[in-house]
Amino acid sequence: MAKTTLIAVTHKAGVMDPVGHGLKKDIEDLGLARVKNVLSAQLYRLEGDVSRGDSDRIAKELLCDPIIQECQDHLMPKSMVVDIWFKAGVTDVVGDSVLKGIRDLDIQGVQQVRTGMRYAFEGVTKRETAEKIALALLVNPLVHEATVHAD
Amino acid sequence: MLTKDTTLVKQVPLLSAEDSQLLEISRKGLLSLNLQEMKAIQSYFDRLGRNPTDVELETIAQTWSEHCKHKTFSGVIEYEEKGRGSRVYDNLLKSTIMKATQELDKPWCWSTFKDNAGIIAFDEEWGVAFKAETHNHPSALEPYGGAGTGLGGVIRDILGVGLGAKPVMNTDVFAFAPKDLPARKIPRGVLAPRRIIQGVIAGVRDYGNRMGIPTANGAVYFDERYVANPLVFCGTVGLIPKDKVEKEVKPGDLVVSLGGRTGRDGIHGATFSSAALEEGISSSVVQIGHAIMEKRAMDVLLQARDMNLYRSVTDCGAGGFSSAVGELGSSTGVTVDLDKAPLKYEGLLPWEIWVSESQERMVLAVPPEKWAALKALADSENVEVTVIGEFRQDQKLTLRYRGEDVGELDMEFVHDGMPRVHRKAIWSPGVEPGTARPAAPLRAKDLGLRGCDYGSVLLKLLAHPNIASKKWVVRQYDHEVQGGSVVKPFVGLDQRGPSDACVFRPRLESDRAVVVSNGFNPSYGDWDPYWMSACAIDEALRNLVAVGGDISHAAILDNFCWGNPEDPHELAALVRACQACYDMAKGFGVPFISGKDSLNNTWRDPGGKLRSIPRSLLISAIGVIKDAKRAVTMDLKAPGDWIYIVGETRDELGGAHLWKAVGKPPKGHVPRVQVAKAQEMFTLMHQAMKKGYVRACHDLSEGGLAVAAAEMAFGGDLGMTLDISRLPTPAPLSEIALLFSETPSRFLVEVPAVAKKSFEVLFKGYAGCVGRVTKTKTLILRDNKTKRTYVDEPISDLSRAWEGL
Repeated sequence: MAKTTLIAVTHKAGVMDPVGHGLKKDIEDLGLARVKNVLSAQLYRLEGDVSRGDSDRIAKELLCDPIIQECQDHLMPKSMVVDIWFKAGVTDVVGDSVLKGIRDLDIQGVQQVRTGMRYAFEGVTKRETAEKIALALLVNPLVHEATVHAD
Repeated sequence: MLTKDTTLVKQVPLLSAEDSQLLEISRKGLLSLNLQEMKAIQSYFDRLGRNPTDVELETIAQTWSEHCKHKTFSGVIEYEEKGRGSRVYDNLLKSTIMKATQELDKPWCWSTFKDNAGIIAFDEEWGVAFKAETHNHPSALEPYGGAGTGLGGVIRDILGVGLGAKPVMNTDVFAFAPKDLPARKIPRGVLAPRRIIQGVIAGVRDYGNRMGIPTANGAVYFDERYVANPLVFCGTVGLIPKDKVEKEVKPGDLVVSLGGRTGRDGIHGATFSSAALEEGISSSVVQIGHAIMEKRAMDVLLQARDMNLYRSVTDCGAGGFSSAVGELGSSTGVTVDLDKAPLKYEGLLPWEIWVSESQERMVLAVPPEKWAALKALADSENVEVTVIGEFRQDQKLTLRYRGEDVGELDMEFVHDGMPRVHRKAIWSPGVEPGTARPAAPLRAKDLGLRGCDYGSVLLKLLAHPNIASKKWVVRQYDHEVQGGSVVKPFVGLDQRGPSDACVFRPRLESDRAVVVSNGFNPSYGDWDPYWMSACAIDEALRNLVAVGGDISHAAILDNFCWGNPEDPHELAALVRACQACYDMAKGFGVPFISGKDSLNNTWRDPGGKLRSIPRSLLISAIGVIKDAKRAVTMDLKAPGDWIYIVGETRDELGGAHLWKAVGKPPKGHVPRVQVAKAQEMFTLMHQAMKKGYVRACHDLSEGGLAVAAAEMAFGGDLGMTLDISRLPTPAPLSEIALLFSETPSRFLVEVPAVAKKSFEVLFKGYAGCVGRVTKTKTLILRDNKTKRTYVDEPISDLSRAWEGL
């Protein structure tokens, strides 16, 4: 099994997260759950050998907008988190572009990049609630797979 | 000699199959072939004395799919109208829509119905190509990818018309279920309307914006019956030099694939789109777009075109290489080495490579001596080009894989061997839901009103999702890129008003402009599809004329989305709609130049019943005007100007939005087009605009006079006082009909005092002077004879209702 490195890019504290903001409104509009706050992060899974230094460089030079974004695995304490990825076999064009970007940085060793999204729901305590939100608003089972965990 | 290697290809046991087994082979293989077609294939292979390989059977299924072959439109239809006789349509398309084009025989139509798009003259040296496509089933399943690739596909149609046109504008028209549809009305396995809406809009936005093509015209329409089967129409306009309109393929030319690589995505798209939507669809039908790849492919293609590096081109759309290569080689013959096609990953079987619908691929016919130059150009732009075969003169389609023959078919059988569909169509007007005629003229209480204050009804109409502002969609699109926009989607003070159509200059060095508009009225289809179709054509042309377009240099596209064509009543409805297309095209003198149909738009409701979408016909119109400076917008311009209504108002509230707004069951007569009069009014309107008589012009459509007046007023941030008793009518009408009737072929026009007389002389018998523009920011609609005021609303309230604030 190839080594994988996960990079999560989110908005810096104090910078508005428009995706999270929009999602919170959709959850409220549909009456799905009571949520205090929703934050989002773009996920990048690098498959292959990549050193810590290189993955930091990829994150900072390629994937983050340094003015408003940062790398942060944990979005919010005491939240329920949903990670969503494309299923194997579904074309991931953003992943392909990131791979090209990594090669343009002259970093070798990464074989494939897959992209996904992470959503953290503050105020949601039950796993089922997070799953309900994901299925109603975020996941298309035809092309996505999702995992839910508490942070 | 075909290979015996069963790891590469499977022999399909067709020769010995009984009827039921034939159908099973078609069903299991997702081939969407009926028994008659399977039998034709069986007897072809019987003559060859062998079974087909999977590659061969897939090739035939793709080529004969409803999506590619338009079986219903090209078949034989026996149409019967109860009590009124019958008629046989031997090829519905050729005997209605194409017939009108042939008979009109416009010299400025450079290419119609034979290529990937229609082309009309823009000026002496340049033409404009136009095509609209649907991508309904993929958008239902994966809205973002489905809609994005829908737009990507129609852009490739434009790149693949003639020797390639440069895309200069996109259009998008969507039909969805309402955002707030309750969960109990959403069938299992279907995405909620909100998800579909967000995904579709984002998909079109990201593809168009990233390719740097403005999306400048469109519409969004809501009806519950689109819940499991949304409609996603995408159109593209392209600019093409006159000497690049024709293409040819010569034996010896290389078959070259340009652009993206081939993967398993989108396999069976063509056959899938020809079937009804059922649960349990495989993810292999999903297509994911890559706009940047297509942009790079476009950059190479347009340079290569101008360097004369290829002789022919087409896009890989439904059916993938199978369709594209098969189409280019149909008159010559072609041999393809499937193992040469660049793949996204290993492990694809030959048939999968052949029918995959991976996006962003074009196929070219390249003379061998030009190959090196093409390769060098593509390398310089970081685009992959690969020789995958050669055109021959043997009239055969030969498919090879690693040196072994995996398929060999006669081109004649592939393209002309399909048995024609014979169907019956029976029209019985009585079964339509809205044919009940109102017993007496409508009164305010019929709308649930006390008194006669129709202001509240007008506010509801303006807030109805079909009429309300679409800024929440349009503002996501870049309509300015390329710099040619003249009349934009929103016009007037602070861009507050909705434009009737878009006007843009594809060549910035010229004042000549292209006008693009659309017409779409599914609600009239429940009454009579003939008049729905007629009204859609009238609306598209009316919008075109309202911004300065000229119907004497305009053309239209048809995009039918219909239910099950095997249902005689639905088929009869389709025949009626096509007949109206012929009658209107002839009446207006405006030819169809291209079109597309998407049938079998059916789905199962939560109770398991097979349901159909509303009968839907999108008409997209394109016209050329000599001087963009003569374009007119709909917003009021100056207090004191006169307001005229052009065209008579009739009691035509059947299918009107009034009923949707007040939540009452609809009744009334469906709007009808009096085409001879409409043609004359549209021609006069263009003359009036050229002469400078018109300061503002807005078409009357959903919501009738009241909505059009409100939009003009808040568009210009000025008021208007109109006397509705002065509307030209054939007979006395109720105030409800005067205010809200959706009679087509009407305009509300602002005329400066200096042009008043000239305008009246020009429109004698067609126009009524109904009021003036006022400084007071209020819309007043009253009857001066009875002294009754029906609407008296501040325009800020009207604007807020329309904006959804």
